[in-house]
Amino acid sequence: MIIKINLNNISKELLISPDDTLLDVLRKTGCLSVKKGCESSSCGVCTVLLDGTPILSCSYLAAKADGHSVTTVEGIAEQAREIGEFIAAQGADQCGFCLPSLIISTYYLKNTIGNPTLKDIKQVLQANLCRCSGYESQEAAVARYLGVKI
Amino acid sequence: MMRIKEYLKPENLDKAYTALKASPNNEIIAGALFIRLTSKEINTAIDLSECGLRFINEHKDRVEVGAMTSYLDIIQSDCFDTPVLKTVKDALSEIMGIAFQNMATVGGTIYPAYPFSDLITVLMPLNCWVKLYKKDPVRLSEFIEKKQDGREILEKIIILKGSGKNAFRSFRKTSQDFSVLNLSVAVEHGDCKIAVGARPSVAQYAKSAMQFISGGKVNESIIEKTAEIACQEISFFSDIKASQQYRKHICNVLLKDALREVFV
Amino acid sequence: MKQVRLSVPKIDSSGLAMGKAAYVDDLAPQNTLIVKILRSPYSYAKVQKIDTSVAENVEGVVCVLTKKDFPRKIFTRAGQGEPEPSPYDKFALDDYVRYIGDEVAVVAAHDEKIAEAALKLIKVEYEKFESINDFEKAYESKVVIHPEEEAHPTFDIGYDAKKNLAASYNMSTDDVEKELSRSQIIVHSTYYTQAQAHVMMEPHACATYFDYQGRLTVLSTTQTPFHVRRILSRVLEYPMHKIRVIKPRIGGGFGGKQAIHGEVYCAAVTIKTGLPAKLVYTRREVFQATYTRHPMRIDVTIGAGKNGIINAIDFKILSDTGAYGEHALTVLMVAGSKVLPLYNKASAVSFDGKVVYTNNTPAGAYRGYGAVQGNFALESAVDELAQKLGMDPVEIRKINMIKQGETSPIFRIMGEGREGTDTIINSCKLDYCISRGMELIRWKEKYPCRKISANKVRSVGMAIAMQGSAIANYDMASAAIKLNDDGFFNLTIGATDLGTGSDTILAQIAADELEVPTEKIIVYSSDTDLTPFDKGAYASSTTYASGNAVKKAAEKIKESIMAKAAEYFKCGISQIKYCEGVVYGPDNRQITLKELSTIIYYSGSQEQIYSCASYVPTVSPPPYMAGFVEVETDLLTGKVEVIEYVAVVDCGTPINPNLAKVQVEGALVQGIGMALYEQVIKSRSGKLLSDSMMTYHIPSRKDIGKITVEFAESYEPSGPFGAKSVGEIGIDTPPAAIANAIFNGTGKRIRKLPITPEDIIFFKEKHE
Repeated sequence: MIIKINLNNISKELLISPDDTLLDVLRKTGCLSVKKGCESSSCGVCTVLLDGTPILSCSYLAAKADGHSVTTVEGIAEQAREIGEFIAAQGADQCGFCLPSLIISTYYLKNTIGNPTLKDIKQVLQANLCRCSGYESQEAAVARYLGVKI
Repeated sequence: MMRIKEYLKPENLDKAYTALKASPNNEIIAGALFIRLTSKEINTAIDLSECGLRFINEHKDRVEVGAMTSYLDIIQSDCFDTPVLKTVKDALSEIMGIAFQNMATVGGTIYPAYPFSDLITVLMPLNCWVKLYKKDPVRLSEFIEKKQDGREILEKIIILKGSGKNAFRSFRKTSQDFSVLNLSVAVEHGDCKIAVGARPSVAQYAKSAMQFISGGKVNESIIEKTAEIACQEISFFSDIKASQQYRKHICNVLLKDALREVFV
Repeated sequence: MKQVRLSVPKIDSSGLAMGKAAYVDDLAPQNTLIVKILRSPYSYAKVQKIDTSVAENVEGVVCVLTKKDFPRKIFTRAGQGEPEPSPYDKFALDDYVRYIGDEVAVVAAHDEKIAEAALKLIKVEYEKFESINDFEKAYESKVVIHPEEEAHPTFDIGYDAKKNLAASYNMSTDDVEKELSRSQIIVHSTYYTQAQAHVMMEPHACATYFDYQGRLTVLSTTQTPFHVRRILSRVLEYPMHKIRVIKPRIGGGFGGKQAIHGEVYCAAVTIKTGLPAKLVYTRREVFQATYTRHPMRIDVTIGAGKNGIINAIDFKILSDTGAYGEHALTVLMVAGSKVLPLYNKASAVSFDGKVVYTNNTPAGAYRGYGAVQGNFALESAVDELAQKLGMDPVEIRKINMIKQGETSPIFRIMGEGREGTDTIINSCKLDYCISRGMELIRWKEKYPCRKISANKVRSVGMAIAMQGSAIANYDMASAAIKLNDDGFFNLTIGATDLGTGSDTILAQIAADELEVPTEKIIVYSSDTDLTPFDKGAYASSTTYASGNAVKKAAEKIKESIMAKAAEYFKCGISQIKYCEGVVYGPDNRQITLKELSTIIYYSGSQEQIYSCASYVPTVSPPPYMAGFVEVETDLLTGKVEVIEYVAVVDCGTPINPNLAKVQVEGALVQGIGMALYEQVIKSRSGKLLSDSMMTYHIPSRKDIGKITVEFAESYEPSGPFGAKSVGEIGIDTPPAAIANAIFNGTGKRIRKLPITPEDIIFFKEKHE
């Protein structure tokens, strides 16, 4: 079947199977920032924005996205670069596999919560799991990016 | 992995219902969160996203929530800021993270009566009804007692407004886990309802305990006895997350705490 | 300008943040065949019959491989140097399947759906056998897991397959029984540690294809590309000079990618069909069919005087290596060799360990590598000793622990699979680690505990630890540096960056030596064709061994540059000075690297300036640390929360302070996971029940408290710029520190991992 989505501000018509996940379709379309980690909605590395709000693309049918807008890191390159610099400044970007999803969630956090606190950071990013960094440096980076004092 | 031959997004419930009835291998798709975990083969998947079921409507005596309303919709809704409904909002806020809450739907949780569901447990002690399409509303407690066959569509839930207090408690081993046990209590005019879920089975009323504590004066000793009775009558089981013994223990601890909150 | 001790951002930072193609699945050729593996549903069985005809005829299926399609070559999957200290006990495909998940057949098809459908159509008849899933019943059981005559060790590792013994080892420094009889106080306890899963974020993946020279290229998420090349050549009987293994960026390893996994099957498909193939493990397969940490039972006996001085230690270990014996002996030995030397005042130390085969998911390398299991046992036992003596647990460590300038006979006796190396500890700031850690956590205020409400108590606990830096007289690392016109350098290294940032810190070492900014060192790593040999990322060897190789290579190329400059200035080399990328000659003459390199490439004294150096460590200087934890225990629910974890680490010079700190923080959280949350759960028949991230939980950011890491900067003379390793040490202390804190808060001594709320609520005192 054919679906029409607005992918990173570009209208795209995509040929998919009804049981394709959005994750697989996005990666086939060239959005390599979206990763496959657990296939059970548990780890967060597949996080993308659907109409501006996070979803887990490994557990979201591509067919459902028909008529909607999808944002990946490829679509917010400038902000991703900026957040990435804050992360790099803390050494928090270890293997990098969870990094794009962390950036997507941080971008969402910035756009939805004015004057966030450290508690907000932990709350919004709680489902973005990381096995390398121990979280401390990630939060220091995101806090600095958002101008939150810790 | 689930296999789907055809995908339909009907523009209203009637069309969705007709499509569902057209074949026993056709199925309703709500949030489709656990899609990767099953290996079903579906003929036509019927997505309810465009059937107008994503709503929270407040009426004078009740709040109606459409089946395609997400947990996040509820968490962000002003309608759920009343003392009783805030308990529901708070319970949902503890579940996993934003992306999960954005995808999980009311209908997608209640129709299959997921046993670990915090939503079902927190709604049980309230005056909550389930409306299936083309059927009369049924109490939530009755609805989850029967195993559904996938041949009906959950349209909305109806929460009748009341006075009184309620509380919800759950125990998780890690923040991203499902509840090892959850429970909820509500009291209105001395009448108390207690529901215990994730036992690991789905929520169940603690009827004898409810009878014991309802109507009379409540003090710490009554609360302790109530919890004791509840833990005797509720059936708990062991699974990968916890033993039967521990669930019973934690039920006792959490129930006393919840009862203290509503009977203050 | 110094580049070492600088928190330089990782060189791959912006690329990974922006989602650039970097990982195996990103870089695999388009339109590869998709490879899927049929796995055994039984713990122990024999394949009587296998019928692939229906599967083969499915449209889109290109081939189905079974045992007959592989040479009959037994090997070990362990990512270790040859001859491996792990038994050769695995065939690529065999008639026998020895755990639920063991490989039975391989399907290659044009897409994932077809491959999965084909798997279901392979008909297998199994003859089921009784299986052993309880490791305490495995030794000398009548059920023998490796009866095949081909299975063998490469040298004596205490192997006896008839008794289900994959490896065994024992040693004794002195008459421990005699010393124990003199002890005035004895602690004797048994500890159990669990199987822990790595849960690196990127599942194992490989892609194989023939390049334009007809050579087999293997892209793999491996920590050991050179071992993979050698093993593939052996197992598939394919000439090694026709194999190239490349490790691109990988999404974490922690030891879980230090073995050969799907590469054998994927390569076999490409060899057979001539077509590119890709095998990406599902998360379920990673849980089921890669490997876990070795679960262990450790019986500890400590003898001491009333003054608290330990005079004897005995360790008896039973380790479960599962269906195959990779890393069996070495993990067992590290459980002793990287733990016992902490208390070098004990003159009598004995160690007796057995590693048994079972029909469980195999165990293998995992950060800490035995040291964390041994540490849990020893550091819990030392606290038990302190408690018996009425001593402060910090005090008892201070009077017993190893100090700078000292040694321990264990260094000489126990290595990692072989004998060890006599070592004088030239850098050890354990004393500072302890005092600073106490300060940071406010130990004196908080020890042992404070009740903060009717049901909640906060308490503190601590532990010390050591690890190693590479394996002495065994590991080999090399580096090559090339000077380019314009005055920048290419650094090629075999060393494997799993996300640790080793590419970056190795560039910093070269840059510091060459006195240029780090950005002038362009790193390329882990490609068996283009980079010199490195044994790979394990045993915490990269900073120390690969770092020393890089430093040597940089020193060599600096000399070559100076020699070229001498030629250019027509003077003797003694008149040449090199400083910050500028070469100074006699009579105030000078030339920049940029100018000199342009000349020697194009106009005069032309020559490619290039260096290569190797390094084999002669000692393995241990990093040390002290870990302090404050926990809050809810006495009603049994839930234990980590409020704060303080770690003070002596890793010599931290080459990149940020990256070193994050390595420790990450390791601490894995250790907290091991202490409180993580458990591989099986049914009694060996079926894995915790086979997804919904049932196996690693800590999220809400499951840990505040983490504080500081460094005690010692200086290790044998390390590059004074550095030791930092990759593993961080994971060693949390299990014991947390168990000790829980005891201090509740009086409950729990001797198994993980420590769950149920353990606290249903605690029964065990009497000795």
